[in-house]
Amino acid sequence: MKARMAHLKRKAEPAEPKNLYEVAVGQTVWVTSVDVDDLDMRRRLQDLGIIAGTRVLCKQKAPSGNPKAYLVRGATVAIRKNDSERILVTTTPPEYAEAD
Amino acid sequence: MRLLSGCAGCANDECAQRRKKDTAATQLKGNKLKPDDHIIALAGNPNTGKSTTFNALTGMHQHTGNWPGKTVATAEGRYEYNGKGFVLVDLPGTYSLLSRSQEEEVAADFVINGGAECVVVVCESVCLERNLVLVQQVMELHDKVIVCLNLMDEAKRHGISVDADALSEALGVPVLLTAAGPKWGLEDLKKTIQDVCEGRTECHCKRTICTGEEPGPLRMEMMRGRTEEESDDTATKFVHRAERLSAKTVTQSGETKAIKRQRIMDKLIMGKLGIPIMIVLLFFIFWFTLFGADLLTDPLQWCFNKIYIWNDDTGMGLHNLVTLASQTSWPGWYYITTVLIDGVYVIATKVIAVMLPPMAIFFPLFTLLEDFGYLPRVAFRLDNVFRKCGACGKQSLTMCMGFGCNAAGVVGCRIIDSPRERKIAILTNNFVPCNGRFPTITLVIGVMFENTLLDSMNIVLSSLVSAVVLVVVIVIGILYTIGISKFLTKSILKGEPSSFVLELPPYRKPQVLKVIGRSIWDRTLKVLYRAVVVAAPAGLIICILSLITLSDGNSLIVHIAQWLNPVGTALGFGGTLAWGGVLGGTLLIAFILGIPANEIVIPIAIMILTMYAAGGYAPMITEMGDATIAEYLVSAGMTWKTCISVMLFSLLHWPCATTILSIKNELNSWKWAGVSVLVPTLCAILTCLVLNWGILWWIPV
Repeated sequence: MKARMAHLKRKAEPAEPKNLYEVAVGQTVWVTSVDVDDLDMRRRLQDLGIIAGTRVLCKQKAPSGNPKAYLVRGATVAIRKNDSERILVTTTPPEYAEAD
Repeated sequence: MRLLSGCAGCANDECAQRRKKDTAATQLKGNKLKPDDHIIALAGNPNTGKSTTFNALTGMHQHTGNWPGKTVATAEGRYEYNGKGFVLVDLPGTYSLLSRSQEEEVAADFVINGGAECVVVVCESVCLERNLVLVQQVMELHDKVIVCLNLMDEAKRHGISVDADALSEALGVPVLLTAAGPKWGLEDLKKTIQDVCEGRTECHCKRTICTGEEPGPLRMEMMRGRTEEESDDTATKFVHRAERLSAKTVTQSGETKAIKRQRIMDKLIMGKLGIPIMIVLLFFIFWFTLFGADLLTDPLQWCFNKIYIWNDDTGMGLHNLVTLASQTSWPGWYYITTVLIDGVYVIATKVIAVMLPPMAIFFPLFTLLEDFGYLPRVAFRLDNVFRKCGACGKQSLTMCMGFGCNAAGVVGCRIIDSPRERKIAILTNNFVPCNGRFPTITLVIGVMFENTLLDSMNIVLSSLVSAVVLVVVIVIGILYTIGISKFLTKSILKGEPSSFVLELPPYRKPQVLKVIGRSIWDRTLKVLYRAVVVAAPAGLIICILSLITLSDGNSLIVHIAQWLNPVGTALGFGGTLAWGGVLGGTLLIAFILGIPANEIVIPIAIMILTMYAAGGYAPMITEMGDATIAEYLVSAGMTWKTCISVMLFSLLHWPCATTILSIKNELNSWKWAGVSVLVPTLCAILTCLVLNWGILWWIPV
């Protein structure tokens, strides 16, 4: 019985998101690359700390599902679909550590 | 000559410093700088309490708000500490100095060339990691930097503590903990600023990219990178270092009450109940504004009237001067006193009486919502609609401001980054009725139901029906905003919706009393200024037009009304033509003469009608209540059809003079100011023509 429940639970989990837009509310992911062509926008995302390796939590979505709000480095920012689609993510945390 | 130019180019540090200071002194506004004052720049991320810190240090009252992007231009203030003068320059809030947006250019340019002896970077302790990116960039550009960890009170509530000593050690510059709201740590900050300026405390910025030997502009170049890869690389370096610094110095201790509270607020505001809450909030603000304004306008008007005519029998008051002047031998006195008292005084006080109460109620409420952090969330929720029109979600905020005053809404459009979307927001702001047009619209609603079934109904029911009509008018305005935004995107302002990043700041408890006091004072000053600068000259012109009488004894303004009557009638203002066909022209000329201030449209119309009835000059009647005005307009032939046309025209027509001037200033172009007049004017005319000849003409009265 318990095993069956666990199976059901796993099935209910959201599909592995490929980009930031697909991340479900409440899910945490790590950015793998930022493929935004517009340099200004890429810079703005970098300013907010969105670069490869950044941990991002999807906090809320607008009623229409676009834009969505993400928790990045302690701040909440809303990003529109056409930008968040270009930010690729993974659910496995990266391994790196550097000394200052 | 040679000596001078030699000095201008020499690399001597002292010379360079003095030169910088000289250029800075010419740049700084208001001549606040004294020869041995220290210049301090205040940099920081948007919405970190920079302006609050600025106000707390200088004792000034810069407008602040829980809304990223409040400060666009630099502001300065001066304070004295330990017998020394300090000029503080508040730079626009920026996330970094690498992008090339307008604010970042201003901030970066001032850090390099502004001649500041030291730069204070204000950081938000709650998300220090992101703030540290800007700290590093400022350190690359400037040698004397102080890091000020602000909002420590909020951080404490969120269970966040920062090891300031470790951070100071890692960065090589002083780090201070402050909370500008409750004024914590400001004395320390002032002392550190002085010590750093006078060299008692030394900064040894630990940089990532520059060595500190290069001149400013070169450092900027190195930091921005020469190629795209290079600049991506430097940007990444800053973020990674910030991450490491933050990991070393910031500790978060579990979930506190404050975090839970934030989550509950978010559930309420962003959840399913969000839209109903928004509608109720907006409705409450409008209702409170209209209701409160109603209560306050009458006593204010009564006071002004008492000054105007104290008592008919004793003949005291300002109006009596006109009577006295008419008895003197030189007729010039009569005209001068009439123009000044019947024209300037009456119109200016009318504007104050009508405009001050709603402004003094609406804006404090709006500011409270702003400080609380609600407004960016409205923009977030409504972004979808605006994106589909090729506009920006932040436009919903400038629309809300427009309900208070379109000129304020136009200036508020600064928060929109993309120039194209900003233009759209500015050009369409006029479609939300401002406080100056609300009285016209509500009064016309009163006229519409005069002598109808509703008139005899009880007050609760009739006021409810009026409120529904008002809501319909507002919704029409919003639909026009959306429609015209879309139209502009497809026509003269072609383009794709730009990228959009909107920060949703934490909810903060507004300082209610301070906000209310402050913004009532601000608005009072604004309204008084407008009354003097805009309404008074309008009164002058209107009075002169009324005083000039042609051979048939009627004044010029009545003739213009008669001449414009066919146009007014075509637009649907004609009514039943009971008054020899002057109503249509009267309302049209009233709208035209109301350009300086929309709130005087109906008073002008009443004045022209009385002059027409009297067959000569008659002063503006000041002591008419709304009900009397409604009766009067009905007797002048106004029908419900006229009312609908007038309401729509008032909603859609050209912006007032103050708004046009603001648009000119914001877009720095008379051409766009012209477009901003043309677009709503065409909308108003076409709508009225279509409505009248397409629909209303076929319906019997």
